[in-house]
Amino acid sequence: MGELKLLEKKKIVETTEVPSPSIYIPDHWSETAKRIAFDSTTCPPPIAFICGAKNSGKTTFSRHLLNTLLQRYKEVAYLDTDCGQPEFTPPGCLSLSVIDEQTPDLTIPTIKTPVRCLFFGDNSAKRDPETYIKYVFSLYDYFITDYYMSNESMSENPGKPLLPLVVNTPGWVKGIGRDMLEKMVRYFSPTHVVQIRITAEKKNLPSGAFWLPEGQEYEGPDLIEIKTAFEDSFKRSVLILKDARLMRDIRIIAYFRQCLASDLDISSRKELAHALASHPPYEVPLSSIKVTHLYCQVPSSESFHALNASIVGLAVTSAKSTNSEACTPWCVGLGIVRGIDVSKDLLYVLTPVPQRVLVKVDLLLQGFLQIPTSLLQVQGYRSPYMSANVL
Amino acid sequence: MELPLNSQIEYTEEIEEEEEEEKVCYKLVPWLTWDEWNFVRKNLLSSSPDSIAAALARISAWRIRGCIPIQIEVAANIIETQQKDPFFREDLNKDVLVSEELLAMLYSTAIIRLVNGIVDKGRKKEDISIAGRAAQLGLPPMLIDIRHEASHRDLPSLQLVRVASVEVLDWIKSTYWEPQKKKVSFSFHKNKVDYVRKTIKSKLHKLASHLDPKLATQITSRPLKRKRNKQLNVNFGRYNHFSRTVEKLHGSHSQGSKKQITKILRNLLQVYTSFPSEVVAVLLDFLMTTYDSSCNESVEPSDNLEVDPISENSQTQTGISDLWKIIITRLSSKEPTFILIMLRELLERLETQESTTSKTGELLSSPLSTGRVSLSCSQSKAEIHKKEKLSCLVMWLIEIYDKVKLPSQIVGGAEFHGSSAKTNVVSNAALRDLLKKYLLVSSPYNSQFARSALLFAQIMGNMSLVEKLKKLPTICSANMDLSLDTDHTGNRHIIIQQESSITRAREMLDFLKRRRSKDEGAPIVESSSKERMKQDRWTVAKSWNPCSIGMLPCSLGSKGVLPVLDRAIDVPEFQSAPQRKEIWKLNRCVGHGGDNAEFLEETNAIKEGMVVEDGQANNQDSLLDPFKGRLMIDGVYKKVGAEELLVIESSVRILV
Repeated sequence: MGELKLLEKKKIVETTEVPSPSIYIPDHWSETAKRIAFDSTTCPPPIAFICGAKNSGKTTFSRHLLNTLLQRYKEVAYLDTDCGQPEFTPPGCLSLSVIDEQTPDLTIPTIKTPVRCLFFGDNSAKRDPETYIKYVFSLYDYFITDYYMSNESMSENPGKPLLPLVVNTPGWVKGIGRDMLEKMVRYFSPTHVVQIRITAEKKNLPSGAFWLPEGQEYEGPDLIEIKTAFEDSFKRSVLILKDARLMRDIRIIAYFRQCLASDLDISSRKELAHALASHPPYEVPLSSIKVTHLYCQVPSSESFHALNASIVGLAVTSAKSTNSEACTPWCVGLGIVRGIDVSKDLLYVLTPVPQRVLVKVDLLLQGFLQIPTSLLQVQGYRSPYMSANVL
Repeated sequence: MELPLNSQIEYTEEIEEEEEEEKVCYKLVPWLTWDEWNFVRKNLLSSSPDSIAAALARISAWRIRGCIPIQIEVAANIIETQQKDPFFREDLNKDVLVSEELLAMLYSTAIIRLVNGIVDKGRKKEDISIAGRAAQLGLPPMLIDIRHEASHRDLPSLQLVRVASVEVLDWIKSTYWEPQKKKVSFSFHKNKVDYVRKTIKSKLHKLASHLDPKLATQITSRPLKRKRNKQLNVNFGRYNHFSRTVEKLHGSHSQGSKKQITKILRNLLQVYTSFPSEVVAVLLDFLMTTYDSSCNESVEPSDNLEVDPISENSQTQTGISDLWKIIITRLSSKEPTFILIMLRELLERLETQESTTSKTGELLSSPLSTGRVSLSCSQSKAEIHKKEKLSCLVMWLIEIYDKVKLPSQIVGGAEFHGSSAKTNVVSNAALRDLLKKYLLVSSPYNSQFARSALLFAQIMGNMSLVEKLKKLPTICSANMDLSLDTDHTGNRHIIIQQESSITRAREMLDFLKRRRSKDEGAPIVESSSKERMKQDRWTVAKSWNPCSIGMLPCSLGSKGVLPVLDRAIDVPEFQSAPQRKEIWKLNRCVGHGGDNAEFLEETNAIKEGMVVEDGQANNQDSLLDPFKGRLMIDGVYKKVGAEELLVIESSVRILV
């Protein structure tokens, strides 16, 4: 559907230092995935919670597990709680996707339209852990009611099968990060918890049921601890930090590539930026749109100064993720506010979200997602926000 | 005003750099222009709490953009804290005071963040101690101690951090604000305009010397009306001197000068490609000035359509126009859109003028407004006269455009999408927009406008539009007596004129309404935003000229325009002149300056049109307080009693 190969596959391969085009899946990984997929009954299907330190291979394992589960199930749900480097969405989003086909090549990240998405607006949960947890729980609740309720209670669609769930988590395993992981495990009560351990022991989560108070008797999910696929993870953590920014930019660029016709021949980022500058955007009356600046107090008089040429989440206020008033509305995608014309009362937005979905959007959420600078400097169309002579 | 010579050199270097893309390092910044940055700098460092609040508000918008320099952030934190500190603000209300402990904590945190932020940047791990690195950077040692104390030991005393806060601001000023300002001062709008003005001036000098020198004397002998432009006077002063020298050499100019002219014009074109809007503005300033003076002498333009006004108004067109003709035809032959940009700018100027005065007309023509009248007789008379002059200018420009435009340059809406990558293409919509502006501006005082509108429609190749325009009463009645007796100042004359103008305005409105209902495919009047709201909120922009992200598309030219992002609702007074707001704010903290007076004039002019007498429930009411109960009579506000109003009211009724 909304699947799209990333533009610069080669570049990604280079920058993330993946040794070969086909990712190496160690045998014990395959065994673990099979054990989760096939060792249980189909009803209820497994809920697998994947955790581990940064760069331990959580995402790769999750995708492998997805593929394995798809051998047995027609559809598999995927809850992505890693808002820094999500699997199927651009950064800053927490999402629930339903996957129905295997991805043969694990090196190519893909952009998919999620079933439900919440706009967190930052690359790390640390900006607001409480909101983060609330969002994750909302998505999980949605999964349970829509895809994990037994047939009897589903009056509308009795034949609908229950779906297995894979939960991918951020690599933040210390301090508040660990705190949040514990909260998630307790709330989700998964059937399997997979902890991927790297060789630098200090950086790992504690072994065993880390979410339980010490000494408490353990009964619950199947706890599987596996080793990372790469043994040499010595300086890796530092390396990945440097690349994280680049990876995010690549994802954002890939996401906005979808604005343009897929048959358009675009091979470089410059061409893409140029095509985006020329692409007729959506226009929407300023007066019909609300703007919320997340985590930051911006006086309403300054709102447009903050908004212009920035990435926003497009949200629908009528569609709330929970019944409670405070919860943020579902997000249908991201947009670039590419221009604001106060005199004409118009806001110009670039977004790949189709118009039929877009018509319901009445709220823009601005977080701390930075627009990739490569989109802003094209010869002839350099954004005024790119400036020379900066100290 | 004069820039030192070396700054101009720096300027030209900058332009060269822009051409060689690769060499310059571009960084993402949260401000749209360096003028915005300078606005924040000035206000933040000022002593007025209001200015500071404005700067802090803008910084809060920058903060969410994420690329704000740490110096600005910390400076804002400290200044915001100082604004809550009774030591720096004596006028603070005792109830809102923050405890000393809290204040000390706020200062300390800001200092910790500054030291860490500055020192960590570019410090390789453990290579050098924080203190060592700080010393390298010239950070006051006091700050290092405070960072250490506040992080690891007791919270430093308020007395200490207060002193430190001043040190921090000084340090940021000398290491960030000042050097950064120096580095970018050439890109402040004012300096840009100065630069363009200078270049054009010097080119004009040279050009004039190569043309008939008699002309130069003609220019200088003319009285100059616009006092606003001091530079202009200086320029023409020099011109005078210059032309005298040229006159001595009269007759010596020959073939060699032709080359020179070409060279000069090429230079001018270069400047234009770098600063299109500035060049147009400056050229127009000059053009209007000279036109002002020339039109004073000229007779009323003939209303005969057959006669070419260029050859006919020989007095207007000789001399000065030769100079302008060369410049404008040359520029437009290379960049045909130049004429259109010029036209639009001219129309926009007329429109602003219009909006300041036309409210008089609106009030008169509206049947409901019998109670609200303002008579600005002398003013409107001058306006009419000025318009008369400008109309020939418009006509002239359109005729030039007719000559230089290429048939392929005007494309319809459908084609336009396909060829969006091309530049220098003018969409029909853009032309239509211009024409629309035209019809709005073209007050019925003038037949020239109508005629040029006709020509414009012909250029567009829209024959049906031409036919429709011909039906316009203004064009039919082009022979109406429009001459203005300069000695005649009686109210009666003007009232009669206004009356006839009302009739024509009505007819024009009817025409526009009919037109709009007829061809909905190409509506000349934009549908209001309310109508759009009823339809789908989100629509794909119908026509889109490529422009960089963060800018707005420009229907003419490919560069795009900078948006005005100030939200109008919070400052209703300045809504009418949004582009002025910032300048005004800048001047407010300076307290003097030439532009300041000009702005005040402008706001006065705006208010002249909005005299409110009946206490109408209007949010502008309070802003107009000084004008309430007053009426503009002969250009002066006079207090008017209720009885007098009634008299005026009744007399107006009779007329309408």
